[in-house]
Amino acid sequence: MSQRALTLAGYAAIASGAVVYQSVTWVRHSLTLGRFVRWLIWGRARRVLFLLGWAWLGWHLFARGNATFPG
Amino acid sequence: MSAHRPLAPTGRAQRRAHPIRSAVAVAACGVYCWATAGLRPFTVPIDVGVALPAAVVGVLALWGSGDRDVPPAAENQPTLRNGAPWVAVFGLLAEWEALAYVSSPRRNHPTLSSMANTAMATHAGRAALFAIWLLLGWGLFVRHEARG
Repeated sequence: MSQRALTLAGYAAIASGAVVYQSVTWVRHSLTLGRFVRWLIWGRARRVLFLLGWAWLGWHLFARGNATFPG
Repeated sequence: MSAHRPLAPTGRAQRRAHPIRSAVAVAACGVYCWATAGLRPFTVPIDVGVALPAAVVGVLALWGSGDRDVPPAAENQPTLRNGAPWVAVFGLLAEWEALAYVSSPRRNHPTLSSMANTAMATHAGRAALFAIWLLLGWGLFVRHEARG
């Protein structure tokens, strides 16, 4: 197995784990990712913090990204 | 007396009552994403293109949200048992990403950023990722808030 395949397999395994646990919690009406995130961003201070993080992500990817650009 | 008055549709029910308005809003967002994805980075137009929706989401998320700052119901709060798996998932992701970041060459050790760059090599890919970013912000900060 190549290094690249191994790295990608790691991301896939983590994503699969998240999907499986989300399914389990959804069926059991337990702490789904949505409920966990809602708790995580509860309160004005936390919400502002996560809002800034989200805005930075957009800025980093689109306004200051280094992908192949048009023109 | 007010108990006999028919209740006005609220929230989601009101949105469902206007499919044309929703379709126009989705189409407008699509056009905005496509147009913004065509702008060059490190220029004023792309700065404005990213800052504008971020500002709108920020205002909608924080406007009057103080009234809704009630703690989630007890069953929606994480315990050590049901919260730990989510912490483990995000911790593993961060660790795997960090491991890839410090390794080289990048082709053999892709990071989330390098994969995003690959996806953004085309105009359609950039527009799709921009739309996902907008949906994430809307879902996390505006729709969550509207649902209380």
